[in-house]
Amino acid sequence: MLCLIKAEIYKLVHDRSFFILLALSIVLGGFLMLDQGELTGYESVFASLYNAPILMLLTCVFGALYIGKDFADHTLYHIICAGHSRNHVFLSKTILFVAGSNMILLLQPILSIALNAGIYGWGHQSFGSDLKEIIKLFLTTAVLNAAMCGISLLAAFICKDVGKTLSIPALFYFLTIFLLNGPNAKEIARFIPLGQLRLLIGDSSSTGAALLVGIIFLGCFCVAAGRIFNHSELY
Amino acid sequence: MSDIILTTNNLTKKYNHTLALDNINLNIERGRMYGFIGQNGAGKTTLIRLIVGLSFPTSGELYLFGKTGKQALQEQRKRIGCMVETPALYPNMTAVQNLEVQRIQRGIPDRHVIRETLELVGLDDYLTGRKAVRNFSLGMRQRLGIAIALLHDPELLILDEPINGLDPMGIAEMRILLKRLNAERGTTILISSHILNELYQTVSQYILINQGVLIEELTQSQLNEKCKRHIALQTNHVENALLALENRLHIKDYQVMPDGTIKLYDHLDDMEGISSTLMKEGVLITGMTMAGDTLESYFLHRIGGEKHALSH
Repeated sequence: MLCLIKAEIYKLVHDRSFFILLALSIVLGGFLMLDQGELTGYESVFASLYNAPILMLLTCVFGALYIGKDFADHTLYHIICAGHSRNHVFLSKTILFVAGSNMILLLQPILSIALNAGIYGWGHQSFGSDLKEIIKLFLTTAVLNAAMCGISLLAAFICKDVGKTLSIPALFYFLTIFLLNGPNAKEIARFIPLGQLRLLIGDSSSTGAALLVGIIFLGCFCVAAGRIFNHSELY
Repeated sequence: MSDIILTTNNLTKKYNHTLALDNINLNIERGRMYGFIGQNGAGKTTLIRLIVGLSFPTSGELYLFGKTGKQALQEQRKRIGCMVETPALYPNMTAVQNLEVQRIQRGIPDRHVIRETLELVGLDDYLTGRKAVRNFSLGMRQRLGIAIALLHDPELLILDEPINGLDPMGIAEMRILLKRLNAERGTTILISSHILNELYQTVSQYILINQGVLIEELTQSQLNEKCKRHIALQTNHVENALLALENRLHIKDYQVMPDGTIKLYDHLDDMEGISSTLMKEGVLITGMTMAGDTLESYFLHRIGGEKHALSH
C-alpha cells in the first residue's frame, strides 16, 4: 500500500496537467477576489472560501485526467497485474485524488489569506487565537470538497474513461448550483456538500452538520466506487 | 519445488451468453517457452486476463506457482511480468519515468534495474533523454512495454502480441532477447502472436485455442513430426498403390489421410521411381506433389479454417 501511495505521489509530481490546474485555480481565484476590494487576512478567509466552490469544476477536470486517463491508457491495470489488491489500488488512488483536489481548491485561499494578512494585517483579535477556528474551517471545507469529488471517483470507476469522468461530475455540479439557486435553496443546502460549504461560511460554528454531510457523501461515493471497482472486468 | 507453475482446471469464462473460454485445462511448465495460437476472438487474451487478474473466471480453478484462492493468487502475481495487448504507458512521461513508477510500485529498491532493463530491450539511448513516450514510435512503445514487464525479473513472462509494430530488425532482436531470458534466467515465457512463422522460430511449445476451446498442446518436435516434408500422392486406387509401395519399394513410413491422400515420408528424392512403379502396377496417379506443413498451415488445418483462409 505504501509503495502504491509513493508511486501515486511520483505520478502526481510529474503530472503537468495537475500543476496547470493548480495555477489556473490560483489565477481564477485571484480574479474572483479582485472585486472584494481591500481585505484583511481574517476577512479574506471567508471571502476566498466563498469563491472556492466555483473552482470545483477544475477538480472535475483533475478527476478525468488523474483517474479516467489511468483507465483509458490502461496504466491502472499494471498495478493489478503486479499483484496489488484492488482495495489498495482504489484507496491509494482515492487518497491522492482527494489530496490533489483539495490542493487545487485550497491553495488559492491559503495564498490569498497570507497575502492579504501581509499587506493589510490580520484585522481581528489575533492570528494565534483565530488559528484553531481557521484550521477547523479548512478541515471541514476539505471534507466537503472531498465529498464533492466523490462523484468524480464514482464516475471514473464506473465509466473507466476520460470523457464521462469529466462530464458526469460537471453535470452534477451544475445541477447542484441550479438547486442551490432555486426557491428551496436553504433547505436543500443542508443536505448537499456544496450547500454546506456556503452555510459554513455564513456560520462557521455549524461544522458538525457540515462534517456529517461531507462524511456521509464521501463514504457513500467511496463505498460504491470501491465495490464497483472490486468486481469490474478490466478491458 | 513443482515444475508446473501455472495450471488451469476447467477454467471457464462467460460474457452474458457468450462462452469466451470453455473448460480450459492447461499446464505451464517452468523454464519453457510457450506459443499461444488462436484466431482473433479465440480466447487468448481472455485467458491471459484471467491469469493476470484483470478478469474473473465464471467457473474453474487457476493455480499460480501451486497456489490458488484470491489472496494467494494476488501474491503469486508479483512473480509474473506481463504485457496485455497494447503497452500501458504514461504518455507524458519519459521512458525512465515510466519505469520509475513501476519500480516504486513494485517496491524494487535498486534504481539500477531501470538502466539494466532499458539496455536489455535496446532502449538505452533513452536513459538520459527527455522525450515523452507519446512521441515514441509503436515499436519503441512495444519495447518499453516489454521493459516494464521485465523490470522485476519475473519468473513467468506473459506477452500478448509482443512483436506488433516492431520492424524486422526489432523482431529478430526480440526473439534473441526472449531466448536469452529463457536460457540464462530460466524465465518461463508465454507469448501470444499472430505471426506464426516468428513464433515457430521462438517458442518450444504450442498451445492451440479456437473458439474458447483448447484444441491441442504440442511440442516443437511433435509439430515438426506432424508438419514434416512428404510426398502427397493421390491415386485412383489407394489399396493397390499401398501394396505396390510396400512390396516393390519397401516403403513403410507413410500415412493415409481421410481424403485418400497418401503421405510418403520415405523416398522423398525418388518421385520418378515411385511414379514408374505405380504405373507398372496399373495404378493411375492423379496427383503427386512435394509438401510440408508450416505452423500456419498446420494451425489452419487444426481449426478447419484452411478453406476460409484460402478463399481470402
